[in-house]
Amino acid sequence: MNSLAYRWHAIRAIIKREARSSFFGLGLYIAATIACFVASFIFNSYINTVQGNNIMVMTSPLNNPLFYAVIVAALYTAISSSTALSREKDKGTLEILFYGPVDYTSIILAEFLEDLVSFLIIMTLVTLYFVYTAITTNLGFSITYLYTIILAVFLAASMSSFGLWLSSLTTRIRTSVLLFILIMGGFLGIQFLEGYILTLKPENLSLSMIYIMGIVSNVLRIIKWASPFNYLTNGINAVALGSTSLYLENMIGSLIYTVVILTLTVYTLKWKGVKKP
Amino acid sequence: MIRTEHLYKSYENVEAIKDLNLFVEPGEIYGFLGPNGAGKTTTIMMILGIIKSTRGKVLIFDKDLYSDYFRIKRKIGVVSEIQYLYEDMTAYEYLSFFCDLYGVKNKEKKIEELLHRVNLYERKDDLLGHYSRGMQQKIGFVRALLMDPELLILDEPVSGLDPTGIRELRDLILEENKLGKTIFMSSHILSEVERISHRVGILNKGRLVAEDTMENIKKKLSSEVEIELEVEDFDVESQKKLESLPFVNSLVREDGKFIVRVKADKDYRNELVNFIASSGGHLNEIRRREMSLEDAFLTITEKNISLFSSEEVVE
Amino acid sequence: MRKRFLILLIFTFISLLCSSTISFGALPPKQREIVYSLNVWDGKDYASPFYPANYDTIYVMADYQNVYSVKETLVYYWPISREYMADWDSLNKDIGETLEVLKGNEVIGTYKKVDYVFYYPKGYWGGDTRLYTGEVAKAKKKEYDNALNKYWKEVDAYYKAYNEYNKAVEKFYKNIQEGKPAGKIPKEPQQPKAPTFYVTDINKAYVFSLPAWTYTIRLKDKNGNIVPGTVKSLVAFSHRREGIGYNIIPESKWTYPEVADDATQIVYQYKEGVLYFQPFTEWEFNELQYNKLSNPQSTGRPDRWIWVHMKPVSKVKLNISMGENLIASIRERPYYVEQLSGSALGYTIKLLDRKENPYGMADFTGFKFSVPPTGDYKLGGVDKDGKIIENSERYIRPITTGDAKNIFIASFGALVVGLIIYILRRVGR
Repeated sequence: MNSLAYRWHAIRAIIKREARSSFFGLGLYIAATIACFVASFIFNSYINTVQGNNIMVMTSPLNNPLFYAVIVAALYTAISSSTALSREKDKGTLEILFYGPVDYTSIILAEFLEDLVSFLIIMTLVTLYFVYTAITTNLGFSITYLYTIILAVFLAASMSSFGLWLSSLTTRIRTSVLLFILIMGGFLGIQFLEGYILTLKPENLSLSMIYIMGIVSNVLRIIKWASPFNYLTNGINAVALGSTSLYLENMIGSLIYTVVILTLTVYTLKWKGVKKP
Repeated sequence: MIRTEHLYKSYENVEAIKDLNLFVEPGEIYGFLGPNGAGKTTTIMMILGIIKSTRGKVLIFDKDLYSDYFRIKRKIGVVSEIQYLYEDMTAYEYLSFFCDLYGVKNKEKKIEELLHRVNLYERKDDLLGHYSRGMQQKIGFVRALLMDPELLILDEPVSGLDPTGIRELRDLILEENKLGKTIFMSSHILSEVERISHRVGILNKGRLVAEDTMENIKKKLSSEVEIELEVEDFDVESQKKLESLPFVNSLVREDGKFIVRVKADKDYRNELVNFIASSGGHLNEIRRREMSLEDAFLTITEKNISLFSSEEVVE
Repeated sequence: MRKRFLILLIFTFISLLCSSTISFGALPPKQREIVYSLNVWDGKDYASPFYPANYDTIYVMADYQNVYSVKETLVYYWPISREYMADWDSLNKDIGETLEVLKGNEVIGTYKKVDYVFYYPKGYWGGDTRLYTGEVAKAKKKEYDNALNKYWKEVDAYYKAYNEYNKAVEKFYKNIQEGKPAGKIPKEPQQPKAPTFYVTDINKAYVFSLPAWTYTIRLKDKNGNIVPGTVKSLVAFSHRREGIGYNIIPESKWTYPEVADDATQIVYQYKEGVLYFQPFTEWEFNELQYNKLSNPQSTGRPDRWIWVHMKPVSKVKLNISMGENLIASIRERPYYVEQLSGSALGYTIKLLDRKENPYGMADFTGFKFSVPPTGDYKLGGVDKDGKIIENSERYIRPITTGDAKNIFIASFGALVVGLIIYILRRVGR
């Protein structure tokens, strides 16, 4: 066996352990329930709209509730990953793993892949719920659902990699969670701020305000590249437009983002060490 | 089996490990000693690659760890002072996970065999969170033995165990050594180290100040020997005469016995026996007192001596 | 002291009230400004935006002729509609000599004023507006003037003939009353038909088209100097996509039509009901650019795209299929809305049969489809040759439930699954 084979062996063993822990725990199912519950409000609003107006015209009605369900599932994945390394470090079990044939790359890839597995389990449960709803209401399925799910996996990968990086920076679970909530909240805020700026009329602003708005807009455009939400929003727009090139562009962007952050995580963990504090 | 070459570890302005050159021979039990804060755990962490050294080399099985990281790690079993376990797993699940990690074949048989050896088989389905400290330590041992390692690294392995537990683990260590495993053990319990180690290495303030068999270490440290005498009818004048003998450094009374300190250049028991007989005393027992490892250890560490040079270590 | 203070307070309050009353009643201040006044093609008709001095970017549709005027006028801010207005009646002065268009630093077009008219073939409100310049403009104007003159002459003749007719009718009835032979009933003269087309007066402005790009535009006077305040950015934009969109009129709420512009959109009907489809050709524009085309003071998002209906699609059939089976082929028909008589509220929509009701007016025309309570339907346009019209397909689905309770309950399914697994694991241990 060469190094890659040994590494993959270690990754598989850790994934199996983590996945068992997730599968037999309740966290996964609570996240799936919240995702479905949030989606149910949107479905309910559709039914009310159709009932009230007798008609509703919409592209892929499942996409909007799916978007929110994916956000919930991806947030769960990210919170889980943001505590993965810090929890192991805090408990000392990370050190124990490193006594054996486990290196930084294998532990990070294992946690990352396990998060994706958890995400897929959640999305499977969500999809079963969506199938039920689509059939009972006749909202129907379209191929765009599948495209969005595929894209969602890439979003989950971005969120998970980001969470893992935060986890590698901190040694306490509480610090990881607080940092994660702060940064994710910041990213969501950036999206809303950018949307707000786009609605401002430059003609009604003073010169200095226009200048400031210009700077803020450019800064936001740069910071947005660090936000995993950006890839999901753009990807969903691509699905709605039916633009394959835009869709692929987002997937590739998301993939590059994930690879970069995971690489950063490896170096961060090396720098911070694995010993229990 | 393990060799360090000019190993250094610095933290900011503090040099935790200085020029460490230790060597563990294949098949031996190497006792690694040092006072608290000497750098024993830091050394073990550097050997395992968990902490990166500032300078120097670590060779395991004559190879740099990173030249063949996974293969080397698969041949090492480690027992740490405190067992950090996945408390939501049962003992069986925990060991099964490590079997998967190390690629152990016939894992069910292996786990069963090892759990029987440590008398924990009946508790295999209990959650590790419900295990006592001693039981957790045993599980740590079992985990370290799953892959049948060539090298066992033990960091305070009997810490927290009762005398029965200590004995069980001592037997386990000796059994494994008989099977050919090299054992590198760091411990505070000097009596245990003395009992089972072939060689010891003593670390003091980050430096290796002694590395040899215990016999040789004691010899190097001792300039005198204590001889215990149980004597009757030994008057004060005779005692004074005894004390003034050229090879006698001192004579004290302790618990009804006479403790004579003589030069360590030769065995003076015969001369003492003859003197007592000639003085009219009745000798009931004569015994040479051996310097203990604890004595040697304390001598080295308190006097800051390095046995690699005859002088005191200058800091 | 307190009394004096109170009096002062009351006096101040009343003064403020009076001054605010005065300010409400007063006209807003007007400012002399150089503005661009345009007639721009918006895909359906010509809009007439004007650009106050503080608006730096002009938007026009690429590859279409647009009319540019630069004028001096009085501009004021109208707070009620929250927009700048131009007081053309007080001041409407054409300025400048030459309009230049630059691409980067290079002048790519130099334009002088030309004669132009707008020609409305179906009358001023009939749409289908056309722009003519130069000699053609003059010819069109002459054609209209001639037609109008002819019409007035016919009106004159008609009134004279009508007078004669009245006299003849009077004589006819008098003869009948007197028992005298009356002859034939006099024939009423026909009213002359006014010209159905309309042509505006000939005006002068800069008329040209540009391919899609962002240019700079500026006005030069007769000495070749740039007129201050006339340098602006000029965005000539094009549409991104073309398609077929639908106005959909639900029978139960005919005054609240919906639109289905995107080919990926699905039309949901509540259980069963009747829908009337009105197909249009449509183009997709950037929201900001398109909104500002007709009104520079409107808003829009540069990252959004909107579909704009261009013109109705005619001479087509709409095929309805369920799976691979064609279940209906519908034609466009005129419909009228009949209010229910008596005290009952409501209406019915009826087909306007021209034979039965030759003088009836249709409230709308459309393609009628009665959506069944279940199923999944596809609607698509087919031309007179039987070919499917691209991008005309839409799916129609009836929503089969109005009760969201089951949907809420089902959302807890994942938790139930999780609890079962969790409990089984604990029991298994």
